[in-house]
Formats: sequence, C-alpha cells, structure tokens
Amino acid sequence: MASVAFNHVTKKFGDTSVLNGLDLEVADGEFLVLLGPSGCGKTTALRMVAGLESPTTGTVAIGGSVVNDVAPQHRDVAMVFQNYALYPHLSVAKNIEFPLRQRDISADIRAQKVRDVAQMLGLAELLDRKPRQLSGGQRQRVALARAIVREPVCFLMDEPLSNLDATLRARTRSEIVRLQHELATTTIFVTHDQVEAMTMGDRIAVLNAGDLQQVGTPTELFENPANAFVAGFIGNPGMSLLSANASQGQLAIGGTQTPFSASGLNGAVTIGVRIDGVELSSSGIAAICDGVEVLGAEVHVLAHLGDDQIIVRQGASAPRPKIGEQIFIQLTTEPLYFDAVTGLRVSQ
Amino acid sequence: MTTVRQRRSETVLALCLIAPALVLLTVFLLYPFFKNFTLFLYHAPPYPGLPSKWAGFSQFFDTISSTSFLEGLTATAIYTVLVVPIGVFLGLVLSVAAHQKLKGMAIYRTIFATTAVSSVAVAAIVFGTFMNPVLGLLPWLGIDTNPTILQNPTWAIFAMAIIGLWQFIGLSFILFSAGLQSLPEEVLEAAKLDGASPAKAFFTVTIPLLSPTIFYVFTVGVIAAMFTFGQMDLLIGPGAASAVHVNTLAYQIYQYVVTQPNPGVAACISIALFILTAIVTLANFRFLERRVNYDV
Repeated sequence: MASVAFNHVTKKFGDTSVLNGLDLEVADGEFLVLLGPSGCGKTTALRMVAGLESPTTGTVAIGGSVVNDVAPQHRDVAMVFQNYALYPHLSVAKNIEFPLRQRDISADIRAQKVRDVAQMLGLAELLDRKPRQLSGGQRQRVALARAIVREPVCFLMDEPLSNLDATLRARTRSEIVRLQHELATTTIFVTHDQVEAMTMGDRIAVLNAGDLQQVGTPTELFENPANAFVAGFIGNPGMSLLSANASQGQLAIGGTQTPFSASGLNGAVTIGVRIDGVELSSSGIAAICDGVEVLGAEVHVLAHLGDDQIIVRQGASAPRPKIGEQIFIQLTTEPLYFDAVTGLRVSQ
Repeated sequence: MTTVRQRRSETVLALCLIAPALVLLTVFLLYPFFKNFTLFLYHAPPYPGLPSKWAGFSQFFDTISSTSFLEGLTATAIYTVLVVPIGVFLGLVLSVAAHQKLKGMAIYRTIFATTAVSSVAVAAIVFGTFMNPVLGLLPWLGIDTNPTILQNPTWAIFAMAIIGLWQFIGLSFILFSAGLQSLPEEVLEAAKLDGASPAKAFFTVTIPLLSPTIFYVFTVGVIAAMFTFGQMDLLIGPGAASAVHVNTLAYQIYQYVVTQPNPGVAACISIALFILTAIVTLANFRFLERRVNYDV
C-alpha cells in the first residue's frame, strides 16, 4: 500500500489541454473518487498513475517516489477498466492468475491465491469458463479478482460500474467498498456518477475542464461546495443555481424580494438552493413549469426562471402543475452565495 | 394480391441487383471452371480445328505421373515453403515495429506496404537488375555469378522466392497492421499493468488475439504461392538451364496454354493444382485453425 501524489501535473494532447496543474494527494489506504463530467481529465489523471499516459509537466509519485519514468509493469498498481479488459482467450482462472505468472511465484501458491480470491468474489464455480461465457457482472468480478490477487500498492478503477444495470451497480458498489475496507489498499476510483462518488469515496476530488474544483469528504462537498460547479454537480439532484440581486440587505430573485438579507453582499450574485430549501407556494418568485417527475413517494417539479433551472419537491398527493403553467416558489432556508462571474463561493 | 405483386417486384429487384455479380461470376469463374473439366477428358488435336480425341482419365494420370509434373510439384512446394512462413514472420515483425507510436512511422508503413501493390513485372525488373551478373549487386558482394543465379539450377528457385517474398511481405504487413489496429487497446494495457514485459505481453496476449489474422495470412499466402509463375516467366523462361527447377505447376499451365498449346494437359495440371490447393487449405483448417482464438 502507498500514497499517491499529483504535483502540479499538466497534460496536453496537441493543442488541447486536458489537465491544468493538478495538485492532489491520496493518502495511504484511502478511497478517493475522481468525479467530473466527460472530458474533465479524470481518466487521464488515472492513466498517469498507471503509467499509460505521461504528464506533460509535473510529477506523479507513488509511495513518495516519483514514477514519471517508471514503466507500467514496474509500478505495482492494478487497474480495473471500464470494459473489464479481460484476456478473451484465457479462462477465468488463467485471467486471475495472469499477473501472478508474470512474477516468480510458484504454481502451488498461484493456484491457492486464485482459489482464495475466486472464493472471496463468488467466482469459484466459474473458473473454467471463458470471459465470453460470463455476464457483465461476472466479468466485472473477474476483473476485480485479477486486480486483487496480486496485492498491489494501489487500485485504479476507471468507471468500472458503468456497464452494469442499476441493481447490479448498487450491489457491486457496496461490494467494492467492502473489499477496499477489508484490504485497506489505496484506491482511486473514476466516475462521472455523483451517487457512486458520494456513496463510495472517503474523499471526492471534483474535476471540471481539467481543473480541480474541490477535494473533500462527501459531506463537506455536499454542505460546503467551494463553487457553483460543485454545488450543481454534487447531490441528487444537485443545487439549483439562480441569478439574484443583493441590495441594501435584501436578496431579490427576478425582482421578487426574499426573506433573506444576503448581508455584506451587493449587486449580482448566484445563489445555490437545495431541493429541500425551496417549496411551491401561492405567491412568491414566479417560475414556469417545465415538467413533473414522479418518483414514487415524492414528485419533482422542474421549472425555469429566465435562463435558470430549478427543481422543487412536492408531495405525491399534491395537485401537479401543468407544463407551461406559472408557478410560485419561495425559499425556506438561506441559500449559498456564489460570485456571479467566477462562480466561487462568497462568504457573507 | 398486393402482397403477391409486392413479393414479385422485390424478387425482380433482387435479381437485378444480383445480375452484374452473377454475370461476372459465370463468365470468369463458373464457365472456365466447368470447361476445364471437359478439357481434361480430351486429347488436344495436333492442329487447331481438328476434332478432339476422347482421353478419359488416362490423360490426367499420365500427366500427374510424368517427370515434368513431379519437377513442377517440387518447385511449387519449395517455393511455397520458402515464401510463406518467412513472409508471415517478417510481415508480423515489420507490422509490430511499425505499430509503435514513433515519429515518421507513416513513412515506414508506406514503404513496407508498397511491395504489395507493385506488379510482378516491376518486382522482376528490380530483382533482375540486382541479380544481373554484370550490373547487379552479386558480383559486388563477391558472389560467384558463373553461371548466373537465374541460370543456376540450385539457386534459381531461391531467387524466385526472394521476389515472391518481397511481394508477399507487403500484403502480410498490411493485413497484420490492420489486425493489430483492431486489437482491444485496453487488453494490451491490462497486460502491461499486470506486469508482463513487452515480449511476454506479445507472446501471451498479442499473438493469441492476432491468431485469426495469422491464420488468414498463412492460408492466403499458401494459395497465392501455389499459383505463382510471373517472375519465372519474366526472368528465366522455358529454355534456361535452371528451367526445370523453377517450372512451378502454375507456370506449366501457362506454358501449355500460351507457348506450346495443349489445352488437355493444361486442364489436367490445373485440376491437379486445384486438388492440391484444396487439400493444403483443408489441412490448414484442420490442423492450424484449432489453435486460432476467435474470442475478442
């Protein structure tokens, strides 16, 4: 096991900049999730730890040693790929054994380790099968077994759950977390799914357009987002971001006064509102209904105010607004404030 | 009613679409193929216009037991054995080398692939010049050129094989390059991360994944080699001292059709060559395809 550190890492593909000076430390034994939308640079960062990409500038260190010039096979990291990347011509047993065969490990010990890991992941009955004879979930477990069996210093997981159906994904999610706690191996897990990030990571590093937005525990990111991007990305649903105006101790949205003072702020401001900080009412801030999502016990009303979108929760039995109908909302808790231009959180 | 009419018009359309391919296939493949079976049953007349004489199977058995047929068979076998395994190996090595992400690789790729699109006439001129006893490279390299390599009964077939190899490497290179590019990148990366050295990853992952391409190149190469005669005709010809050693079966067919016409014998050799090629190809499928992995 080892820590992993990115020290001002940049990566360019031709003229396209993918990572812009990433500084990030992953502690020994930690489960860190790299979270962000497609193209934000999270997979590139992961591949740099694996040695499959080289930084344009900056260093990547594993266990305190810079590994920029170390070949992937000598880094002692294991990677679980999005498409599993199993060896199609080898049986499950041989797939799991493959990394052990590359080292000087006797056949007896290899067989024992394969048996143990297969047992741990419920693959004991499938050892003679070829990957094409397995379901997606089984393939995923073989990929995990192949990573675990060699006891690497670090696990790298590149969206390993994205090809699984929703039920299997939820089950595999908790299985990975359980295994990681059991093995206490440093893990970097890449995903664009904030639910995975929130439920799995000890800490989450949010990336956007090659820039690290914020690093923190799931709770820190949820409660204290550093900027509007993190606020909008974290949470299910994310925060609704609205343009507002603060003036003379009064916060107004779309010309309608709110009960909040926004003290210390003046002029245009972006506010962040969680779904439980806003409700439908008979008067207040006017918005136009864009749709209604029925989720069972509750209903989400999607609406817009000018160019801004907002989601409001409604009881399952309440009368539902129609698309295009004017609705009124009011804030029930003080929102978070972000700079209208930079999107950075502003403290009052 | 509408359905019947609709079905009929679909059938007409289907026939129209198939027609061009069917015509080409019939004229250039099916007709010659079946005509061959009628030719081999008759002795060719001594002069054109005279009636052909029924020979039955005797002409075929006489032909395949003749010395010249056995010499042709030997030349064809030696040529195939020299060209195909080395061509497959070198094509694979070059394609792996050119698959590396290095600067200027596009130039090398173009150079390696060029031989596949060069005609045998061009290849014969290039190598004929190299092997020329006065102008060529051999005297310069200190190799005895008396008799010249093309006239030398021992070495002439090797000279022919070098030309065939030069051409086959281009095809082999192109097919292997395409095969390498279609391999799943993640699986090769997984092998690296699992600790496999480049050589070990090549033999334990790349080669098994590439085995369908290897099998295809080998099979196509064998078939092509068994039908070679271009360089033999262009550089050596029937009267040379080394002629009997390079008279491949395909070259004999050519001679019995063009230079000393005897369609009956030509048909017998072509049927024998067809049967031989079929046997070798079936053997390839029977013994080599077992080791091919089609799982990707």
